[in-house]
Amino acid sequence: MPKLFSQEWVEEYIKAINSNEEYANAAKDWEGDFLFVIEPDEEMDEPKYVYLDLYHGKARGGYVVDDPSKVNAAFEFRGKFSNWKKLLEGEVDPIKGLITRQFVLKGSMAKVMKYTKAAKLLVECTKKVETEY
Amino acid sequence: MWWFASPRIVFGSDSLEFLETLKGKALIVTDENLVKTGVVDKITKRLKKAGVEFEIYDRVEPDPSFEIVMEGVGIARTFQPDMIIGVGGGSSLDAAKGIRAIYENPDVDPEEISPWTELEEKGVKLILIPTASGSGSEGSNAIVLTKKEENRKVASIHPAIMADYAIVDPEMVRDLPLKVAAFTGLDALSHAMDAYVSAWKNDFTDGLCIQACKLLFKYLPRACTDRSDGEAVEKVHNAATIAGLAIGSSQAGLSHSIGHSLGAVFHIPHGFACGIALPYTTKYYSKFVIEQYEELAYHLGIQEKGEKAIDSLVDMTMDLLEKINVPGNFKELLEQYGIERNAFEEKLDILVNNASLDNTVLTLVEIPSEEDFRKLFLYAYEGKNIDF
Repeated sequence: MPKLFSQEWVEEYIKAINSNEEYANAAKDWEGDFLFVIEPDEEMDEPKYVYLDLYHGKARGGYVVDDPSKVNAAFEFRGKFSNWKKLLEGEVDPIKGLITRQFVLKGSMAKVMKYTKAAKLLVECTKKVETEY
Repeated sequence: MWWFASPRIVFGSDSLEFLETLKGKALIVTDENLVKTGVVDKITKRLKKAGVEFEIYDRVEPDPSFEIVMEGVGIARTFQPDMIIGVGGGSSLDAAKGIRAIYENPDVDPEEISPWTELEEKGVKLILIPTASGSGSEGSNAIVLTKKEENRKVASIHPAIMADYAIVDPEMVRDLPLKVAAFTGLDALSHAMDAYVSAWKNDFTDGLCIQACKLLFKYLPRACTDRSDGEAVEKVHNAATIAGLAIGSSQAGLSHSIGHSLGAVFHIPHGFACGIALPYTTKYYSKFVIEQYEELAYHLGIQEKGEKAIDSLVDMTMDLLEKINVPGNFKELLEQYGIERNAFEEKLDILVNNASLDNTVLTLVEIPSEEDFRKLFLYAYEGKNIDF
C-alpha cells in the first residue's frame, strides 16, 4: 500500500485518473497543472508536495516535489494533513472544505468554477488508491 | 464543519414599514419595469418618510450580466450609499448582491467570486425585497450572474453574499400575473425538494424544506388561481424564502441540473424547467436516496412506504402541476414557446452535456451518467414514467 504523497502513490493516482472516463469527459478542455500541498500539523512534522500535470482530461505526469519554489503550477491546493486524511476518506467534501477554509486554493477561480464536476471527480479518484497515512 | 446562515427576516403584512426605521443613503437596485409600474414607489415613499436619501439604479435585466453589476458598482462609487436595497425577482436581488460585494471589495473581479474568494463585509447593509415568490435569493448566499458572450450562467455561493435583511411582504407580490406565480412557485418547490435530498442536507435545513413543501403543495394552487387570496399569496411568499434559506446551506440538485440546461438552451422560465423536471428527477434519484424521499413523502401526508411512497410523491407533484395549469412534460411546455420536437432533438447532446457539467451536480449523492441524463431528458419530454 503506497504512502500518501510518495512517488508510488502519485503513480497510482495518475492511473486512477487516466482510467476514469467520466473525469476525461468532464475535464476534456482543462489545461492547468496543480501543486498539492500537505501542511504539517500534530500528525506530520514536515510539509509535503506533489505536482500533477492535468491536461485535456488526462494526467500527463506527476511527481513528488522537494522544493516547491522550483515549481510554478497554475493552481495550488493546500491543507493540513489531518484535513487531507478526512478528504481522502470522504469525511470532508472538497468544496465545503474550501468554503470553510480547511483547504485553500490559489489560481484562477473563474476557471475552476467552470470545472467543478471535474474537481469532484479528481478527489473521488483518490479513493481508488489504497493509501497508507 | 458546515454553516447555516440567514438574514434577519421581516415578514408578513406591512413589513415594508421596516424601511421607515432606516437612516443614511440607499442605492435601490431594480429593473425598469418595476419603476414604471409603480412597485418601486412602495419602497421610495417609505424611504422618504424616514428621511433616507436614495438613488435608483434600474438597469437590471433578466439573467443579469457581470457588466450590469459593474455598472451598478460605478453608480455606488459615486453615490456612496450606506445601504443597497435590491427590489425585484432573483435577477435584481442577485445584481444587488453582486454590487454590494464588489463595491466593498473593489479588487475582486466579479467573475472570480467563488466559495473560497476572500470577500469582506465592510458595513454597507444589503436589504433584499422580493417581488416574486420563487428564487429565494433574499434568503440565500447564492448568486447567479451571466457571462453574456458565452451564453453561460455562473452560479456561486459565498457567506459574505448573504443579505443583512430580507423583507418578505406579500404586498409586493399581490399583483403577480398567474403564470409568473406558477413558475416562480415551482422554482421554490424545486429548491425545497432538491435541498431535502442533497448530499449537503443537514439538520438545520431539513425542517425548512419540509415546511416549504407543505406550504407550496397546499397553497400554490390557490395562489395561482386568485391573487386576492391573501392567505395563499402570503404562505407561498413565505415558502419561497424558507426554501431559499434551505438551498443556501444544502444547495439545489438534480431538477436544477436539468432545469438550468433546458432554460439556458431554450430560454424558457427557469421555474417551469425545474418544476416539470421534478417528478422525473424524484423517481430517478430515489434509487440513491429512497429513505429521504420516503421521509419527505410522510411529512406531506403520504402513508405508503418504499417505492409506493415515491410513486405517490411523484403523483402528488404531477397533480400540483395540473392544478396550476402547467404541463407535465417538456414537449407541451416547449410547444407553448414555439419549440418543436426537431429543435429539442437537435439540442439534446448539448442539453445532456450542460446538465452533466452543471455546478448543481456537485451536491448530488451520485452524479447520473450522461446516458441517464439523456434518458431523463427524453422521458421528461415524452412524459414517460421513469423505469431505469
